Amino acid sequence: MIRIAAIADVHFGRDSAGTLAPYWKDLHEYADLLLLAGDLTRVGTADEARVLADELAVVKVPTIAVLGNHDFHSGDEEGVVRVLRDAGTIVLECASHMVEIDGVRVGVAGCKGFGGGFLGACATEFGEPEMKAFIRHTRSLADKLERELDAVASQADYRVALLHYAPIDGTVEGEKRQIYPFLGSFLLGEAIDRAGSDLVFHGHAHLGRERGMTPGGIAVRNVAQPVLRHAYNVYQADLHPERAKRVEGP
Amino acid sequence: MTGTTGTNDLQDPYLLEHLRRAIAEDPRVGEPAVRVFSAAGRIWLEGFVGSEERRKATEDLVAEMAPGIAIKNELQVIVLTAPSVESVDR
Repeated sequence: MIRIAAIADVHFGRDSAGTLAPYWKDLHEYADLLLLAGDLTRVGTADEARVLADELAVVKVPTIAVLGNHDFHSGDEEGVVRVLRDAGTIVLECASHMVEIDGVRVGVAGCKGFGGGFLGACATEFGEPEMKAFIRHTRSLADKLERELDAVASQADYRVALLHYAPIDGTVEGEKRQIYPFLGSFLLGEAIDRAGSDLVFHGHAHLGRERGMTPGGIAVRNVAQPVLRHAYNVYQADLHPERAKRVEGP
Repeated sequence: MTGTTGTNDLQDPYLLEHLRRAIAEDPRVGEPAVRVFSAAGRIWLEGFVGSEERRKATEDLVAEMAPGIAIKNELQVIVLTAPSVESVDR
């Protein structure tokens, strides 16, 4: 049994101390891993990250995070990352990390992602340099995410894609359609379907809904805090018997 | 991130958009998920924020930018509940 706790968009500021630790202190009783899907801070300062790092001190399971757009707002994303890493959080910037849970190797590929829109209405690399740069950035991150999912494929028994931006429009439904291109990109979903994954987490869409699925049939969960209204939710999976056998070995 | 309601019965047709941008960009607030619209000559604020301080800071910023216009602050501070568990077997 794999038990993964996930949350996004905690938007920590100096006024957030003490808001999540009471819920996180016994998280290890319900989950073996905590994933933070971006927008960890309010405006992306190291001071705000320090408040979150203090809060995370009570968490007794491995914690893996990606950044979100808020974490870039002050231009000190490196400071945010440094504070969190110093506190023991694994911050993935288009990278992957393997965690062993009860003998099961869980590979987490993490990348912030970016916008551009979803199937049927998406921006293209055409016209002004700024427009091309916008979509190229998304494409570049999607390519890196795919590579990281591929990289852990041979060793992981269970793969998770951790994003901030949405890879499908299904979990942003509830937001105004006019801003869909700023909420995520089908390029991320396509990369995940191509490389394969067992589960996908993202945030960013506060008015979206929790559950969705890629066109390839991979479960997607929008864990933005305003969507969950919890300090985290837990997602648990029993491995398919064939895969469980592989985990246990011959 | 979230959308904003498009209704606007204020005299300045651009005011609501300036408020939305300021609520997202001003470091005293930094809340892009706030919905801003007008009705009956008042500015309404809706959505969820992380603390009472941010709820108040948002209203203060709007009052500063739109002096003389009444504000209906319907922002709610997120109240967290116990986590739920979902099985995601494939």
